[in-house]
Amino acid sequence: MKKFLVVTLLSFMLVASLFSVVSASGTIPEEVKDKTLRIALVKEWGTGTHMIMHINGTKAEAARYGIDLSVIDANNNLAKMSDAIDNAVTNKMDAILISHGKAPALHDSVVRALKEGIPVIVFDNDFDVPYEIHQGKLVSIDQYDLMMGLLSQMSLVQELDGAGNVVYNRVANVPPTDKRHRIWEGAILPTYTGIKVVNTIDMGTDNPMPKAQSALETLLTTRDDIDAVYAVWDEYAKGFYNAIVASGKEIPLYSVDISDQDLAMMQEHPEIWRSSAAVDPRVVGQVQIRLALKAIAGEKIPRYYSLDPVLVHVDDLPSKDEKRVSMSDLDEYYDNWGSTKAFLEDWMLELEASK
Amino acid sequence: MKNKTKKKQFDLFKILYKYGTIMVIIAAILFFAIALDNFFNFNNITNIFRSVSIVALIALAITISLTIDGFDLSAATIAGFSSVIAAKFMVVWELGPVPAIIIPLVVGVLIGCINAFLIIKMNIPDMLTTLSMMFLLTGVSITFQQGSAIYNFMPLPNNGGIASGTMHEAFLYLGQGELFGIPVPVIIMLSVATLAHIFLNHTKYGRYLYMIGGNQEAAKLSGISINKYKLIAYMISGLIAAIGGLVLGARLGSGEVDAGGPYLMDAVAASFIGFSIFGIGKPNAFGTLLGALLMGILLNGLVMMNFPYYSQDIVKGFVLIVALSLTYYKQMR
Repeated sequence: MKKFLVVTLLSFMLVASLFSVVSASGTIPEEVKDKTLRIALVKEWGTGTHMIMHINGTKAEAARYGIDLSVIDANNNLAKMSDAIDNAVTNKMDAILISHGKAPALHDSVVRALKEGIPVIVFDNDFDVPYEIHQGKLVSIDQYDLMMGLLSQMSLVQELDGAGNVVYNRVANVPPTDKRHRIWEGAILPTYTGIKVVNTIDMGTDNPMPKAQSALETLLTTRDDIDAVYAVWDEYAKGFYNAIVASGKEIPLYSVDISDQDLAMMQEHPEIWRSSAAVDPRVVGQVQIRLALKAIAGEKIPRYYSLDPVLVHVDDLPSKDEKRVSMSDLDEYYDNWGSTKAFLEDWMLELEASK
Repeated sequence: MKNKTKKKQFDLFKILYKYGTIMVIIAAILFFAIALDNFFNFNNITNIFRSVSIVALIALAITISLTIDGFDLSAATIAGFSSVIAAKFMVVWELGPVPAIIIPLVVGVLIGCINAFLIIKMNIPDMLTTLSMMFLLTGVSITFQQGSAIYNFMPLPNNGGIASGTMHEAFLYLGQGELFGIPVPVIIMLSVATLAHIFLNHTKYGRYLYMIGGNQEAAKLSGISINKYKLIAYMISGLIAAIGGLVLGARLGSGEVDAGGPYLMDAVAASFIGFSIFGIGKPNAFGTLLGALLMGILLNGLVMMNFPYYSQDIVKGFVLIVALSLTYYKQMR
């Protein structure tokens, strides 16, 4: 009886304290209350399914909180990107979101923004800025490339039963693909010694699909010992897929990143394109907006954040005759797809309700 | 220009000038044939030809513009745009393969006309006109495809469901089919190169184009309608570029974003290597074809030898320098 009382009392206290926490954080911070916040999204490029979904995800999340979001597509021009950041500083935007870009080209502009106290939330890039300048208002988000490398490469190892000749693909000197490569070099190859790399294809980042296709065609016409193909980036995988289909061989393909086009190809030849590890680009946008809000509200935000990747495996998807799957449908098959609860505070829900 | 008194002394240069590029090609082939077991099999040879078909077609388009001393920088973008038009016609608008082939060709010719109009009537230098056209078309193309690639079973924008059209088999045949064991893109490339060669060397039009390119004033004085032939040159250039685009779209099986762009520099290089073949010293279809093949051979061999792209670029740049030295060193004297 005594024990029961203690437990009851304790649980009451717990519930009460929970309520108090909720009500305390439930008030919308002054900094974001009753104003229209203005946020700039500066992108290195804005074309392709992936980037369009990122923009749409960011826009949708911004609309929830009544944020005025302006999207600047620098069209692969780093100078333009840096100008766009400078403009956002001049216009006293409340936060700046960046996607990609090269750190040295943007460093000065980002420092200027941070010195003005404007939070900078960066996706797939990082800036080496000391704490004295960024004051905890700089976040580097990535798609957890290390994990995506591991998921996709383990998918290959599993389906090859740990041994086989692999055509490998790396894209050197690009931060995300370098991270994926580190797992391959440092973890997969030393652990699964039966995996042999017979050739490494690297065609750079400038529209590699047709080049990847020609390169793999060359290998497929001149060798018969290829057991699997790995693509460190799905732009390569699309070219590899075309080459494998054209060769008439049945060689499995594993990759990182996903787009609607990739899914259509996967479903067309499930025996070829087996899996791809990916993060929903809409979720990237959601997290960027929320982190920006938290930073504006003066709450503590992390310096680094990695999103949870999903291994999209063709065996998990319906056959092409049942249903053609697109990226927006993937939440039916995977939990971490479509939306996330990360950094979603109660006051944000209140803010949403007040708009 | 020709220095007859020093003829003997420069025999070596003369041989190098005439056959240097051919020797470079043969040396590359020999090197790869010895270094790699599978380089010299029939499948790989067809593979090389097929891999250069798109570059060669775009390079032929540029070559035609070079004959009149112009420069069609928009050729690669015309090719990319034409592949996107074809894809959108079939996948989104569900039209048959016939309009999907004809319309891009018409568009290619029209863009050629616009280029020519700006060059002739507005008097903008060729390179600047076609450079502007390149930017313009890249943007138009991406707008036309709404920022995303166009492919089979794509989800349509604004929740329009899955596109019900597909890239037609007959269209894909242009890029993926084979005729008597020879890939169709190779047949297209060789036919266009042959036709361009005949047109340039064995017709009145071709001779006039070269005359305009050689000396525009002289051509004008001998009564050639320069504007008319410039227009013809850019129209043909646009047409050939659009053909290259059809092959590109058929080979990829989709209309990619800015798919033509990356071919520009390789195509320009192929055209200029073409100058040096047999010491012709001017743009010519046969030389351009060999220039494209040389780069295809290098790429093919280097990929098999496991070279990453930046070392391939070093080799490519080096070969280009050798070929161009052979051309221009002679012209200087």
